[in-house]
Amino acid sequence: MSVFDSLIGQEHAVEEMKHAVTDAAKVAIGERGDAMTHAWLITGPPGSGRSTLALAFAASLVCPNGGCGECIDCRNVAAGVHPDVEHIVPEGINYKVDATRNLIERASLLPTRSPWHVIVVEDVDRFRIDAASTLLKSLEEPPPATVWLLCAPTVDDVFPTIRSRCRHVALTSPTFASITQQLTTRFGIDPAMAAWATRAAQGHIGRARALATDENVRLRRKQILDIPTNLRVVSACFDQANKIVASANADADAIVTPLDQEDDQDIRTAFGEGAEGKGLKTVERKMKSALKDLDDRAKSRRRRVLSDQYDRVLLDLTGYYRDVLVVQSGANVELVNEELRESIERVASVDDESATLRRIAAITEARDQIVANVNPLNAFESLLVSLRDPRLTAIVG
Amino acid sequence: MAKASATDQAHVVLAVGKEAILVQRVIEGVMSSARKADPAAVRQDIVASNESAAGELANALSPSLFGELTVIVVQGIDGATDDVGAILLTAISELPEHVRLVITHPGGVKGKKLLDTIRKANVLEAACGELKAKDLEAALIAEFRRHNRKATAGAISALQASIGSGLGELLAAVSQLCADTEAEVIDEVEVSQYYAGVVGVMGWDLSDAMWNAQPVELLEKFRWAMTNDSNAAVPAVSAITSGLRSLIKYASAPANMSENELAPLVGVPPWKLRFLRAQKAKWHPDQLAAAARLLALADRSSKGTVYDVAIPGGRSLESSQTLYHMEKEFMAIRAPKE
Repeated sequence: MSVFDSLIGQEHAVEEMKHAVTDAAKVAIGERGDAMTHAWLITGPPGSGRSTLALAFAASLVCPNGGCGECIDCRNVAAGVHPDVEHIVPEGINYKVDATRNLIERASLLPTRSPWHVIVVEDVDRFRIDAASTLLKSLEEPPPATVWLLCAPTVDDVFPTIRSRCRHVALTSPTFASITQQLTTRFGIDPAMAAWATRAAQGHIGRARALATDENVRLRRKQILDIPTNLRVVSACFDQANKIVASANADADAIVTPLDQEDDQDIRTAFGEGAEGKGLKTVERKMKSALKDLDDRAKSRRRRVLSDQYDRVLLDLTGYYRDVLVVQSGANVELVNEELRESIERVASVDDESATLRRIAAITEARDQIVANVNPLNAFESLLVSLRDPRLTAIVG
Repeated sequence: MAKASATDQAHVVLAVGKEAILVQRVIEGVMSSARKADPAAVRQDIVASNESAAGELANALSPSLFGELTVIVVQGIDGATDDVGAILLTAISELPEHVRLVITHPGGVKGKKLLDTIRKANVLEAACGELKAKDLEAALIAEFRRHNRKATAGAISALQASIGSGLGELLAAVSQLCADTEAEVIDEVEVSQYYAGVVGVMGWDLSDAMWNAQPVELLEKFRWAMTNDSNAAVPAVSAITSGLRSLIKYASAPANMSENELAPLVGVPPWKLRFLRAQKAKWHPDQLAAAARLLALADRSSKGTVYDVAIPGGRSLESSQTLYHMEKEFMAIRAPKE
């Protein structure tokens, strides 16, 4: 057994990592090991297993057996409690400079019980220039026993200054078959459902799993995909836009509210709320300021979750029009939304490819607008009136 | 021509208060009387809180090479150091022949000790505090008189209604009116001709102008709104889009609904339905659909970027470009000709 077992279809990357682990052991005892270096950049499309690979590599570096997956070190890494492996996941939209400075300080500490102190940083594309420059310091003059594992979707998402100081490992998109297999074997999902979910999620394993296991997620997706054939009149576009924004907000709340409450309670407990005695005023004041910081972070986290929700809606719609395009062009490839073939063919029959491409462009534009801070309701209203087709109305209506 | 006031002739004047336009007037008065005495008179401004203020002040007080009259304006002595204070007090008690001194203090308790010491030196003081409502009227009447004109009570209140209570803007408007009009007595008709609808352009004014299909009014009001408040762009778009939403809800409601059922459905007070009916008649649904697209673009412009294929996140706009883009997008929303 090995910690790399859960990676599917990434033999090339796994080989490179295993080689590095062998050489890391040499470096640790002062010998030469060129396959090991202090900073790695792991890229790959969503769902390809970037963080899985990073954590498996981290486990192999701190494991005395080079990643057996069974010893206490491997199990601690898997549980996220290993003292020498830090796993950094951004909660807000961007990494903050202050948080990055703290990280740099911790990075310069020596490992406690392993030869290496490993720091796994996810979504490096969420570093803006200021925080990235801070990180650069440590990448340029690495502490001797520290290893950085940076993860990002593509190399282009990472600042060249950071990129140039890392060794690059690229993951490929796993095949749909391998994802389906993983869903069935690892999570015990029914094969037919797993195959459908893989296709519907376009190969994003996390999303596929949610689709396969959560009735609500499937329902939301169905509602979104019913939109293109339900835009009879302008007022319907406005109603649907309103519904999209409202349900995205409700979903975001459902995700962040428990986290917010937990964080809030943690801080109150840490400051000993309800205690009595000397110096209470100072503690209360500090607690208030800590809670305010928390509030800012919570807001940023909510924005991030919300923008993920909007992205998902736009992605589902793009998939739908991609299918329309497939039908229109007569290409012999599988539809993402095979179960909606009837609706897709109807939309495809009233228009030509250029109109469909214009609609896909409108989806891209809406995404761009939301990133540019346009009120999401305005952006979706604008999008849905662009998707509307009066001729389709004639047939459907 | 402005009439001379007592402070103009004084050699040392203390201007106390926050109203910048009044302080400005005092300084200009001293300056013009100094120019009369010596056409080569120069003005030197010294900000009392600057580190170099003491040196600058000492320098300005020392005799000049050409012996011209110097008007020294010491600004904001609430922030003056002890050194500056000491030099000032000496200067007041033994004012050099070539110097006129104007000292400003914004009022309040900060630096009050120095202020009181200067007051004890029997210096002429000009009150430059913010005016109360009734003093404001008097000030406006006086301002008309300064221009050798008169104004009716209606004109004064029309001015206040359309410009607001900012003394600077009001006085500037009076000068402008006196320059633009010929009549001996200015009344509210002339005021409204030049200044109607300047202040307090509300979001719904813009929205009404847009959906009543009155592009000229819309542009005019939008410009005023942006002139008065540089942050007006975002609320403007939001008001116009919410106007569009009401209009679309109204237009799509079943025709046989009573007003009492309709108002909550559309989300407007019942009296507004009449306006919505008139607006609905002016637009075709396709135009409203196009409007939704354009308003999303205007929203983006109001937040300071436009789409640019080469720049992720869009190209950022200067504030003047924001105005241009928003106007362009607003004007692209057009009702069909009747």
